[in-house]
Amino acid sequence: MKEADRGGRLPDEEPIWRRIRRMFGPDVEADVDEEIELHLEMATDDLVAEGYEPKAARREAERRFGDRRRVARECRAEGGRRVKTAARREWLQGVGQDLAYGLRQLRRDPGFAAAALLTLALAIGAVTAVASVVDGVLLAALPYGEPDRIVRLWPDGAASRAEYVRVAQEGESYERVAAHSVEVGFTVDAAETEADEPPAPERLRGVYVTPGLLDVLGLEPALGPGFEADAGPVGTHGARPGQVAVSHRLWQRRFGGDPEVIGQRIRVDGEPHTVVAVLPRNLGFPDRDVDIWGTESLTDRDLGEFWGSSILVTVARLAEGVTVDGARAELRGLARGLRRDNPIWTPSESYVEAADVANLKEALVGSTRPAFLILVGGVLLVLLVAVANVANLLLARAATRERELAVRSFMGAGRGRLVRQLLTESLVVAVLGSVLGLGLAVVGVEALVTLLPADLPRVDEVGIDGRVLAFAVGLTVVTTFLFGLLPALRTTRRGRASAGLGALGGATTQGRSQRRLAGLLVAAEVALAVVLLVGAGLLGKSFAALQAVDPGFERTRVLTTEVGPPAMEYAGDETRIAFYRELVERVGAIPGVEAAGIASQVPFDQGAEVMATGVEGKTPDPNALPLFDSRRIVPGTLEALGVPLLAGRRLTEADRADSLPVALVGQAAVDRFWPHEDPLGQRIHYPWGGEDAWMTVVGVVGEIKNNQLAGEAKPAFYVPYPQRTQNTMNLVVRSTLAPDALAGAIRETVEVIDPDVALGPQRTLAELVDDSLGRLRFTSLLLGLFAAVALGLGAVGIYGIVSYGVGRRTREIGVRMAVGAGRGEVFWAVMRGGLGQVLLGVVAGVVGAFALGRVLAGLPGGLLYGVETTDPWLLAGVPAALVLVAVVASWLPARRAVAIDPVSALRAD
Amino acid sequence: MATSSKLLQGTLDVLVLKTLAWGPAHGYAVARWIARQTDDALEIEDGSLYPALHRLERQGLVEARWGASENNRRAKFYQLTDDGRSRLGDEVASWERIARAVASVLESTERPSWAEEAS
Repeated sequence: MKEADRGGRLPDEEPIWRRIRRMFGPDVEADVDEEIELHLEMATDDLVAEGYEPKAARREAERRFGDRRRVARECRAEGGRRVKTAARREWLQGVGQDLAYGLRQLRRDPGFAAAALLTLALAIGAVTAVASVVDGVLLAALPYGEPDRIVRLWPDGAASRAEYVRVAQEGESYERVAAHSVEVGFTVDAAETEADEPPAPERLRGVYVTPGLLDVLGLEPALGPGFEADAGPVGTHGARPGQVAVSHRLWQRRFGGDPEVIGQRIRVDGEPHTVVAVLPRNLGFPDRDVDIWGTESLTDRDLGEFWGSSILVTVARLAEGVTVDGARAELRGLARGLRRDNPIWTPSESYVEAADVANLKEALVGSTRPAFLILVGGVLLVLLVAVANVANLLLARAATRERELAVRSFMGAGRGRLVRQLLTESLVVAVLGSVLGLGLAVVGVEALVTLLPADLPRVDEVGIDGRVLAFAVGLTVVTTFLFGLLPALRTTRRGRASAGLGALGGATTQGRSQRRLAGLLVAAEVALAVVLLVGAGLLGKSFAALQAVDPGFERTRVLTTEVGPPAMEYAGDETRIAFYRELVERVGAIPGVEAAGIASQVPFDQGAEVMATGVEGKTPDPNALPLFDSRRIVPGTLEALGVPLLAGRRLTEADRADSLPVALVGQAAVDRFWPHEDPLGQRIHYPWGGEDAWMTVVGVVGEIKNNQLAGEAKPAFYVPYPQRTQNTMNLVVRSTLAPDALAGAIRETVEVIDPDVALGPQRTLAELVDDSLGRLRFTSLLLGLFAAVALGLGAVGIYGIVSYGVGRRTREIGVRMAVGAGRGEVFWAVMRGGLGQVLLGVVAGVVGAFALGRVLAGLPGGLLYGVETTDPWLLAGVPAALVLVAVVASWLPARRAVAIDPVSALRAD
Repeated sequence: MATSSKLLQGTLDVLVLKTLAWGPAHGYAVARWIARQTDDALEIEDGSLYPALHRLERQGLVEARWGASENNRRAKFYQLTDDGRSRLGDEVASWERIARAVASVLESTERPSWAEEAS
C-alpha cells in the first residue's frame, strides 16, 4: 500500500512468538494492544514536544484517550467478528473451488459422469415413482375413518335383504352395518324448482344405500345432514324413500357448488327426491364412476320375496375390540339360523361355510397384490443394483485417480483438504443424480397414474411419496459418500511417502478381491435384467396377442351412449318403440353416419345381461340351463357394430310386437347346441317370459366377445326390441365423423325429439375394450420399464468393471505388449474378462425367468395370453440381446487397452 | 467519556471517513486531524476513534495494512475502500440535508400563527 511504502522503511521485527501465533490466523488481541500503545506513545511524544514532563505527558495522553480497556474490548469484538466472516468466506470459496473442480473432473470423464448420473437418476426416479404409486394404491390406508375396522360380509359382500337385515339386527360384532346395491343407472332431470336454464337431463351411475353407509366408512357428508332412516318395521336399517346424495364432483359440475343444493328437490328417474347430502370429495365408493346415492328402503315384504334376485353388498364397522375372525364366527352362527329359517333359499350344505368376513381394503385391492409385489420386488432389486453400481463406478474411478491423489498428497495437500475435495466431488454426483432422479420420478408418477386400471381406489390422490423419495435419495447419497470417501482415506492413511509408492506400484492384491466382488455384482445385474426382460416380454406378447384378438365387432368408429327417457312418460311399449324408432332414424340420417341402432347392452360396457336360457330339446333340466348373453336390438344395431350375418336373415321392421317372437343366435350357440343340425327354425326359451315364451331362431350372426378379449365367446341371442321393450337403451352409431362432432350431433338430435331424455357419457367401443386391458397394460409397461432400467444398469455395471480392470492393469498390459503380445490378444483378453461374468448372469437369469413365468401364469385373472412361458424367441433373444449389450460395454474399455502405449505405460507406472 | 457519548456514533463514522478521504492514515493521525479541525470543540476522546475504525473495517468501508509510522514503529494504517468512498458521499449528502432542515427552523424569523396570543 502506498502510504506504507512512502515511509520506505521496514517495520520493526515482531517478536518470534507473535510471528508463530500469526501463522494460525490473525492475532486480533495483540494487534489491538499494539495499536493503542502506539497511539499513546505518539501522543506522549507530541506532548513532551509541547513542554510536558515525560511522566505527566503520558498521564495526559492516557486521560485524553479515555477508557483504554473498554476501547480495547470493543475493538477486539469488532476484529473477532471480522476475522470470523473472513474465515467463512474463505471456507466457502474453498468449497466453491472444490465444486468447480468436481464439475470439471466430471466433464473431463464424461463416461463416468454419464454412467454415474444415469444410474442414480434411473434408480431414484424409477424406485420413487413406482413405490409412490404402489404405496398410494396398495399400502396406504383407505381414505376412511379407522379403515382397519371396516369389513365386507359374505363372499364379495353379496347378501340378500333378509341376510342383511338379520346381521343388522342381531350381529353384535359391529358398531354399524350398512349395505349398498350393485351399480345401476340413474336419470337426473332438471330440478323441479329450477330457474331459467336447467341443465339437460343426464344418465349417471349410482347405487342404492342404507342410511348408515357413511357411518360405516367413518365419514361425514361434505354438506347436509345425510340420510334419514326409515321408521318402518325393519327399524333403522332402511332409508326413508325419496332422499338422494350427490357426489362432490356432480355437485360442483351440475349444481355449481351451490350450498343451497341441500334440501332442493330434484327429479331422479322421474320421481321427486330431496338432496340430503353432498358426499365427501373423492369418495369414489363403491367405485370412481358413482355419482349418486339413492335410498335403499326395506319393508317386511321385500325380505322373503327378493331373496334370490336382489343383492345388497353388505359392509360393517367392527365394534371396539372385535377381530375379523370373531366376526366371522358370529356370522356363521347367524347363517346357521338363516338356513334353518329359510330352507328353500339355502339348500346347499356349504351355505354356512361360505359366510365370510373380510377386511374391506383386502377385498378391494387384494387381487392386484401379487402383481404389485412383483413390482416392488423389482424396484428393490433395481435400487440395490444401482447402489452397487455406483459403488463400483466410484471405486473404479478412484483406482485411476489414486496416482493423482498420491501426487497431491506428496506435494503437501492436507488430508482434510483431500477428503473434503473427494467428498465434494461425490456430493456433486449425488446431487446432480438426485435432481435428475426427482424429475424422472415426477414424470414417472404422472405417466403411471394415467395407466392405472380404472377400478383401483384413490388413484386420483397418488403423488410423489416424500418418504420413498427420501429413502431412495438418502441411500444413494450415503453410498456415494461412503465409496467416495474410501479411496481418500486409503490414500491419505498410508502417509505421504508410502501412498506415493503404493499408488505408483500399480495393482495391489486388494484390487483382485474387490474385482471378484464387482464381477459377482455384474453377474447379478445381468441375471436380474434377463428375468425382468423375459417377464416384460411375456406380458408384452400377451398384450399384443390380446390386442390382435378380433372381438367380433368394429371398435374404432363406433360410438355408444346410454339413453334414458323419463320413466313416467315412456311407460308404455308403444311410446318407447315410437321414440326409439324416431331416434334411430334421425341419428341414422346425420351426415357421415353409416349405421345406427340401439342395444340393451353394449359389449365391454357394464351390466351384461347373462340369462339362463332354455334350448328346445337340448336342456331338459330346468335347474341347469346354459347361460346366454342376451341383447334386445333393432335392425341396424348389428350393422353398426359390424357383426356379420352367417345364415338366415337379419331382423327387419316387420319383426313387430305382435309378430312371431324371433331371435338371432351367435355362432357359439350353434356350435354348442346344433353342431349337426340346421339352427334356423329351432326354438329357445326367453328367460323372463312365461311357459309359452319361445322364440324361433331366424338367423345366425358372428360371435362377439362380451367382457374380455381372452377366452371363448359365450352363446348369445338377440331379440327384436319391439317384442321385449325396456326403458333405458344404448345408442350404437358407426360413422366417419370424429367422436366429438358425432356426440354433439346426437345430443342435438335427442333434444329435438324430447329435451327431457337423458344421455350418458359418450364413448367409443375402442375405449371400452381398452379399459378391459388396463391392468395388463399397466403391469407389462411397468415391468418393461424395470427391464429397461435393469438393462441400462447392467450395461453401466459391465462397462464400469471392465474399465476398472483396464485402469488397474495398464502396467500389466503394457508389459505384455512390450514382450510381444499382439493387439488382438490384449483386446480379447479384456473382452473375455467382461463376458465371463455376463454369461454366468445370463444362465442364472434364464433360470429365474422360468420361475417368474410360472408365477405370472399362476396369477389370478391370468395375465398371460397367447404366449408360452418357455417362449423360444424370448428365451433365446433376451440372452442374445444382453450379450450384445455386454460386448458393446466391454468394447469401449478394450479399445482403450489396445491403445495403451507400452513404453509410456511402463514409464508412467 | 460523557461528552463523547453525546456525539452520535454515525457522526463519528462520517468524520473518520472524511478524514481518511485525504489519504491513508493511522489512528493517531486521524485523531489529531479531527481534533485540530474542530478546535477540540467536539471533545472526542481519542480512544473512541478506535472502535469506530474497527467497525468500519469490518463493514468493509475501510481496509487496514500494517506499515511503518513516522518514528519507524509498526503502525496500522487505514485506507478508504470504494464502498467507503461512496458511503461517505451518501452520508455527506444526508448530513447537509439535515443540517439545512435544522438550520431553517432555527433561523426562521416567521412567527407561527398560534404564537401571537401566547406572546
